[in-house]
Amino acid sequence: MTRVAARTGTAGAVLLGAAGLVQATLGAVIPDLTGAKLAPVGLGLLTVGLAGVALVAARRFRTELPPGPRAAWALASAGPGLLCLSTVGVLAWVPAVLLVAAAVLAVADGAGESARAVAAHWPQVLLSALGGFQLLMAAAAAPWVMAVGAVSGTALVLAAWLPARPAVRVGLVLLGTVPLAAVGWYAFVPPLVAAVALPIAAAVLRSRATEPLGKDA
Amino acid sequence: MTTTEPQAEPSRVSRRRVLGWAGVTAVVAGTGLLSYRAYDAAVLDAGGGPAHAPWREWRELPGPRGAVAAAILAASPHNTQPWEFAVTDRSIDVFTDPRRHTGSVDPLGRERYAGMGCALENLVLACAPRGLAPAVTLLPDGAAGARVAHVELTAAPARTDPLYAAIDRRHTNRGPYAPTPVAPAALAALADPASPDGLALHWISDPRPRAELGALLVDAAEALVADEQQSIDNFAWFRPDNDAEQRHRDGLVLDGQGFSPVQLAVAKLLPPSSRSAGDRFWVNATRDVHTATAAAYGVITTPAPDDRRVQLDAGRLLQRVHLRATAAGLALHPMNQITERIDREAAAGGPATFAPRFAALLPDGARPPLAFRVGHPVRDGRPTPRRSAAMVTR
Repeated sequence: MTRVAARTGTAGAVLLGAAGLVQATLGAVIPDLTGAKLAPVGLGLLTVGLAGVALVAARRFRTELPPGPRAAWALASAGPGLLCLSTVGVLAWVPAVLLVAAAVLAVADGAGESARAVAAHWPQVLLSALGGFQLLMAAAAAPWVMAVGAVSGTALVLAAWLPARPAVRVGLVLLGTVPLAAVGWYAFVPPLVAAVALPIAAAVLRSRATEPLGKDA
Repeated sequence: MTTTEPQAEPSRVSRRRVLGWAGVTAVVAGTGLLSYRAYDAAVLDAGGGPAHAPWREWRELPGPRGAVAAAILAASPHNTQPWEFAVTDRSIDVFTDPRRHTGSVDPLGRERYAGMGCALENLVLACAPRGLAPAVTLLPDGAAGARVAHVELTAAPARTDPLYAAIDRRHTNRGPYAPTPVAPAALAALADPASPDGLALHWISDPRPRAELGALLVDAAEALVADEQQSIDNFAWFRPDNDAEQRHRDGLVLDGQGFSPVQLAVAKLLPPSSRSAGDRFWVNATRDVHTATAAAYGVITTPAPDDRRVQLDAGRLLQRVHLRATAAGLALHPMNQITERIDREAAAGGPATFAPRFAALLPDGARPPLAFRVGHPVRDGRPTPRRSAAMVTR
């Protein structure tokens, strides 16, 4: 099953990378296929970056992993697949299906353990989801806001999972919340995401969220 | 008792934690829904997308097609863009598309032809910077023909024009205007040194007539929304969301309503408004914003407002006035609900209620095809969607 997940994920990531390159180079020429985006180059490069994340996840599926990391890498496969539905239009359909399927296959064995692992890292999952929301908003933003949103969303996901020193994670949390809230203050949602993310990030940083949900810290 | 309580304590705390994180999860899920709405409505990209690309690309196109790219940025009634163009290296024919109309709002086609005049003016202004000298023949096939102008092009030294430079900064500004009056000399500078035959531009800036015209505009807006067919025909050109805006690339959009950035973002996040809610918003805005903050009104008059040639000339004059206002840092907002009611009453054959009231505010014999307000803007107008030059060229 893990080998099938790895192969499926690799195929999805490669196709997604190709879709990103097509968006970056031909997006303005074939808008009907690429979602008629205003900034096809930026979105194409963002897609290539997300495909890279998905490719790393697919490679990790080949190895034996504990349920927690396996669930995290499954999110790293499904997340880019779903996000890219908003960056490369129709071109994302096949890779999105493959990447989500790979994620499901990766956690299919020992689904109960995976679910418990996800529950144990629920604050990180929520923080990652908020980072994903920022990436989603960035996909339909003006070019320079898109760049800020891409950095912010990525920083928030890294802050949730990166095994780094607390100061670095605090820096990532601030990078993942303040800039987009500042440039998108008028749009209500970016400041809301920051306001929701900060206390969750504080919980993640305080506890490192290694204990299962339901057990006292 | 003493042995059971310590065992029960972790269970209560765990339940509380679970409920707490369930609440946080619900908040995150709600944030996700709003984030998707922000994505779907492109809240962080006001004025973006292919529908607004013509505003950014028009200067790059050379020759006659570049002149058409400037023409499509002109004002038109309800942003219907009722134009088509046939382009060769030596000429441009300008056609009106009778399918792109506002029905009972413009039953005599007066506004549609004025809009064609606006586009023609931009087209003419865009020729000189491209080394082309235009010679315009209006209505070459007669008043009933779809071809409203034939523009013959000859080579000429390229030269710039301050009105040309203002083409992509000119937007209808429906927002509030500052209470600062516009000096009479500044108003006079917006007019042509010599208007086309039969056309005149009257300014209404003194407080009393300005208030009377403001009240008449509010009455006309209320009459228009009370007329169900006019309300329906108005609403038909409203594009309620980003998908419709990008798909149709025309019509009335939230970006063009003069909102502040926060108001605009909230309006885009909320569900689309109904026709009745849109009507109420418009009447209230006419009363509380448009007429309440107008520094002055301009009225283009003529003895023959039903003449197609006059309508085209009136549109060209309006476009020049708007471009001069833009270059001078002034805001302008066409306000035609009175003339829309005049035409509606005339077309329906009913008693004329608005024509005599408007005539009382104008010089004897002057009839108004077009009216607008001007003032110092509180905030800039925003670009509205446009079909590209390629989409409207035969």
